[in-house]
Amino acid sequence: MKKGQILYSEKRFYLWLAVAVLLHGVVLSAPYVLPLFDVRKHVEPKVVSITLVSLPGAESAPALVANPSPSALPQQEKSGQHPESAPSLPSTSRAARIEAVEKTALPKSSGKQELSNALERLKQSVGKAQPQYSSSANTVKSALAELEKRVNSEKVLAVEGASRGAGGGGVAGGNSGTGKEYRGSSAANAYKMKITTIIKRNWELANPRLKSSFGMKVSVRITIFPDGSIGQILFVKKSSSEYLNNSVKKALEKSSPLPPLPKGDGFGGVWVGFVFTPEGIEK
Amino acid sequence: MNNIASTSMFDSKLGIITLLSDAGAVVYFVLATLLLFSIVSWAIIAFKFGYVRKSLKESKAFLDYFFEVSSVDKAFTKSEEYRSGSLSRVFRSGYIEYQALNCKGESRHSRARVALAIKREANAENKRLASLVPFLATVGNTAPFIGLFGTVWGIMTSFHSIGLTQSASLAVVAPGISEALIATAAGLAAAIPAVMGYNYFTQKITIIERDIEEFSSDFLDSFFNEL
Repeated sequence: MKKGQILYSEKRFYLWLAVAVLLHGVVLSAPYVLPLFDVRKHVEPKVVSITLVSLPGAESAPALVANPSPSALPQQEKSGQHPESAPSLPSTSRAARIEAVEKTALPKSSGKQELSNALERLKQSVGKAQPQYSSSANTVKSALAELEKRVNSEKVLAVEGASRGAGGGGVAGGNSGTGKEYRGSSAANAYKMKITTIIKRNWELANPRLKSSFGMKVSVRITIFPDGSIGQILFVKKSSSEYLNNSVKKALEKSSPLPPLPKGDGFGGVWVGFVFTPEGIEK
Repeated sequence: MNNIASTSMFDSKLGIITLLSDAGAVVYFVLATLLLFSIVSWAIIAFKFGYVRKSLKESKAFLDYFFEVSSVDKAFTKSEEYRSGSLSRVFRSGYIEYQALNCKGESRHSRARVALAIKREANAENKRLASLVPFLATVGNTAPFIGLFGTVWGIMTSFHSIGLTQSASLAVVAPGISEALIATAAGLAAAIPAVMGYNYFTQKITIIERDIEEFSSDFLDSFFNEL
């Protein structure tokens, strides 16, 4: 009888132990899970890639040029001038790339026209800057070549995307990627461009230190609330360089609050992922 | 450690997981220990709360019945319903010993032997009641110090890193200290419920022990019709 009672007591204790483990799990995960409910509308992620290319000595060029294009993972390329912090160092070529992975409804079709315009403006700005910074001509040429290459690849993808979009036009819901949806997310595109510009502007990198950060990536996910405030910064993947990690964190902090989210187009609070990749850093 | 936002906005919204993403191994070990302490403490609190509460409730009900009826046989039959009550257990133990002696026809020293059986059961009951409770005292006493150790270690490493970066701005110093203080918070979070639970159970167990001590003689007298 006593043995049975002891066993029963032990069982009860283990039951409570399991309950305690469960409750602790719930309590500890609450700070992580609760922000998910803050985002009122969470749409299945679509991937968009935003690339910013800053070229030396082209400060007068427009900040951002959008170039959305359709693909299996819809990509949007944006190129623009990064404000060069040290124009007195023309030999310093700096191209920083930010890939944004946005978890909202995103376009599949492209703005080829916009990219062409961007390219044109870029060429003009580079042309103006060339006499002043002749030493960086090679870098400019290589960047332009890269852009042209991308334009060509975007064209191919656009054709593919158009045919695919026509076939999938009848798909209902938030992820069909039809032309209508693309028009609907133009506000989203503008917003993305805006926040990318801001973050890019606030991303301060010192070249000597960046030399060791070359080829590294920092993946960050932020929650943007409707009022534009950044709710949470989560490092999905850090680089081995603490300096680079810090620079990304500081850039995001400095950028908060971002502009308020546009109304409609599925924006009620979003998660946006960024991959910060310093590229083309030369001494 | 460096992904902590320095502004209050970020501090308020960042999760614990994010906050600890870069903590050192020692801090993780400290936090894991405290988490384990906390889990076991809460399990003991929940388990003991039910056990002690039921024991008190059934002891009271049994005592009421015991003083109502004049027959120990009836009281023994009723005690079957109060198997979780400490007093009913002690009574049952004495009654079983009393009946065993009666069956054997041994009348010599029978009172002393029944008294011994009651005492033995009372001791066993006290042990049962007090089991696991000392762990709460251990957690209550040591958890804050373990947490403090984690904090001291975290601040130590944080200052070391600050020294390497050769910067002493608030933005550099604050995140490391903020992280390190989580260990102290965790220590207190584990210790506070443990201390409260320990005090509660100590008080209740003392009441039950006093009842057992007080009514053991009444049980003994009842077996020999002296009640």
